[in-house]
Amino acid sequence: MALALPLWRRSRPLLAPAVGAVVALLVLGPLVFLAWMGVREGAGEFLLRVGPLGLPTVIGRTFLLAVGTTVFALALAVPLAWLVARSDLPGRRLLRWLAPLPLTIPPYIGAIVYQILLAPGGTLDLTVARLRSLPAHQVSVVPFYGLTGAGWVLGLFTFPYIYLLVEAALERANPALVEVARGAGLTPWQAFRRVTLPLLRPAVLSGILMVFLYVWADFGVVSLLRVRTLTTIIYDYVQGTLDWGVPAGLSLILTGITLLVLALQRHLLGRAGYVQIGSGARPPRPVPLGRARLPALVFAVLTLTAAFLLPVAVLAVQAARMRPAALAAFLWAQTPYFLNSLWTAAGGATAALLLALSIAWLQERRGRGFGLSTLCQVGYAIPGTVLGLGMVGFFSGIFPWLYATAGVVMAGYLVLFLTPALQAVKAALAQLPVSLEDAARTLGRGGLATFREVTFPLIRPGLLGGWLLAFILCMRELAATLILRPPGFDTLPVRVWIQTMDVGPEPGAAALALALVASIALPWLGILLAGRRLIAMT
Amino acid sequence: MTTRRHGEQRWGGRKGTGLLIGAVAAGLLLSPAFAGASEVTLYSARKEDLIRPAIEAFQKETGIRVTLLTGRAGELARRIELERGKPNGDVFLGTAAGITELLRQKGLLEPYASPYAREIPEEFRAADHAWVGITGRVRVLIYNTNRVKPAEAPESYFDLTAPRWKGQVAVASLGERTTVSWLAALMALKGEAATRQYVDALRANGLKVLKNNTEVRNAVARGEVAVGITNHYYYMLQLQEDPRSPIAIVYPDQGPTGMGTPVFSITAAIIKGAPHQTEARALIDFLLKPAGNRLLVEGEFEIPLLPRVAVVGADRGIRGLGQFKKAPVTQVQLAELEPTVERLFGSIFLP
Repeated sequence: MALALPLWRRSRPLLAPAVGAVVALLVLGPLVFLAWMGVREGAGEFLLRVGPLGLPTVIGRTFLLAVGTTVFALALAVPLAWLVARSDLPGRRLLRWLAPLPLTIPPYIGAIVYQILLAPGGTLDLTVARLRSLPAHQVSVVPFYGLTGAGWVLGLFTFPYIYLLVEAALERANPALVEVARGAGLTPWQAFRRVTLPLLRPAVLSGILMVFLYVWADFGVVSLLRVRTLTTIIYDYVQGTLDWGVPAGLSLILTGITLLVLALQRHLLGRAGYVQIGSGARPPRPVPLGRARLPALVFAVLTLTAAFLLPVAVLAVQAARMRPAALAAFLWAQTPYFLNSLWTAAGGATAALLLALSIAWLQERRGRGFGLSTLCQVGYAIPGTVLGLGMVGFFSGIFPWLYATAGVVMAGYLVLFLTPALQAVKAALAQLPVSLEDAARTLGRGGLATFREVTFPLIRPGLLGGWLLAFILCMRELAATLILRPPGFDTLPVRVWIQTMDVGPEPGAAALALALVASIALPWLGILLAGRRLIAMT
Repeated sequence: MTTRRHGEQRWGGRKGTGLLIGAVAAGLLLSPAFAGASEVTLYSARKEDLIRPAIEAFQKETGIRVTLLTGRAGELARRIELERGKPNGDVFLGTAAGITELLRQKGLLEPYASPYAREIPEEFRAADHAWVGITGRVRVLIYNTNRVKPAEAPESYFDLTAPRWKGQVAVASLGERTTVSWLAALMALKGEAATRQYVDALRANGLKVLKNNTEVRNAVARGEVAVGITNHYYYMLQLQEDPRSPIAIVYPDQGPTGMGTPVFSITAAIIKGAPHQTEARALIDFLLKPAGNRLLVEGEFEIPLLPRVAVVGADRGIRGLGQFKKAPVTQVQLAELEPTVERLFGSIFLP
């Protein structure tokens, strides 16, 4: 009898171990390699050599930066999400499309842009110097390098992580709850604090975690803006020396701290549980902003200008310093790199989505595999440099046939961006009542048929969103790609890096960065529009 | 009606998936790991734009296709170490002898006595022909002429600990191998204790450690700092970007009792077990022949190590070998001291 079952049904119990093995191998393998290298090469000397680095200060500084950036990102994201979802702000439909766009600008490119504008001797200083007719070097308007500059840039380009989650949560929350609260005599502010905010708590906490861990693992911005963190120290050792002991040891310390943060988040989130039965029957009535309308509009416009329009304009101005013919020829010569980026990102995002779907299904429908989420989050939180270093070592030792192929680059993307994909898929699956699937099974559909005919069509927008997010993140990945890429296989971000390493933010680098932003932003807009049509049809 | 539309959509989805899988598969097959023919893979720690002319000339002359992997010296050396069993790269082009010498000691390089290497002075070669210097760079000082009058310019590295230069001196981190080589030169000529003392004094005087030499030259050109300790061609690169830049160059420690100005060489080496040995040798030969070497010198503003290649930038004050007092250390001496430098000063020379 058992033999009569179709193959996939017999093999289903194998899904959990199989998925677990893949994730564990890809995340733990590199870490084990680093631990081994760290122990083999100078474990005894480690403390002696790391002593003068002033690690407590470095860790404290990174922590400060992560907290500051998170607060700044929250201050941008939560009001913006509320304005878009709940208020009568003019142009909020357009805003809904535009607000996630800063994600298409990799933070290291944002850092280059603000370096051009705000660094000592940059545009701002020169302008002020000219106005006051002073020599340029005597003018320094803002203290740009250091924590302030880095926090500014990181906050501007990571706030959409929080915005996306909070806006979606606001859309899902039943507006009747707020109306009931208002009816019971609460002021709008009280209603927001006591009803809306608690409902948003899980979304806000997840968003905080995304931004916090991003900053913790960031390499590009901090190294450009001269903040010394664990990641930059590791990278300096990787770049400049053949020493394995120090970078491997520091990588493990960094991973340990990440695990602590994850445990803390789990602890905090564990206490937040609000379940809504059914969703809002009618769309929320927009809250009239009244006299706050103008300030709110100014806030929204300024945020988007600083985080998207201004950077794009600066890149365009820089790129325009090249003659059009030369520019066209230069960009044409970059086609192979563009294609490299495109197909590895598509492959990485697809692999991430498939794995995320398996994990989400195990968790939401089978109640298993929760440890896998933590493993995935470790992958997300490992700095690209550390992951790259561990992965090349791991693959060259265990899977030499995969080492130095584009396959390893995609495996790196998979590990780094499984978490964002998983979050999107889980959100979609959680909203789908199990009763619908049960009904299909009662009507005689098999498990696979149920998935194909009921589950998949309903969660498709969520899957699309998850894939797109992973794709965008893969397209802009730099630190791990630098270490993982096979010879001759550069991606667009690698070319931007090579170009800026040569000569600083030159027209060529700006044109490339602009091409990168466009190639991320255009599919994003396209799929957003297509996604709306899909939703409209159902 | 609805059903048909659903059907169409699903078909569209399958076609999309098929295309995606096809594209990924095609990409995998076309990726360089699967390519054949006459080719050579170059692991280069050199700035890519500057080395391109030489590579293109080599491809044109020999018909050998060059696959270029640009990275930092340490990163590339790590690759070579990990690929020990099955190397992917053929030739390694390092920024200074230090890392290359470490690779030689680990038995990761294939000795090759190029007939064209004979004209390179012996102090720029490995004794067993594992690597050879191809061009040189000089460790100079550059200063901002708006902030420093020529008469007041520092004449020695050791002037920079004076109060006059407090917070006004920048140097690149150890991510730039030439910073390590420079400290190694000080150690070779002044001893460990004196070098430690000097570094401490620099630090106490507010030395700014920046990410790389490009940042050092930008900081000096913008007037963010007055003086930069860097390599001579950054002076030329700055002038190339803006000929009216307010910067000037100093060859330090030239006096009768001065230690002289250190010279470091770009090194080329063949990786042990390289899959394209013949092509790798052809590339090394090409870079050492005057015609090819001239392209490197011109592209990178390096100083030639070959007597028959002319100095570029002589009109702007660049001097060739023999035109200034060179610090008396060999590349091997520097390379042997570099690990000690990393241990002693690694934690200080971070940005």
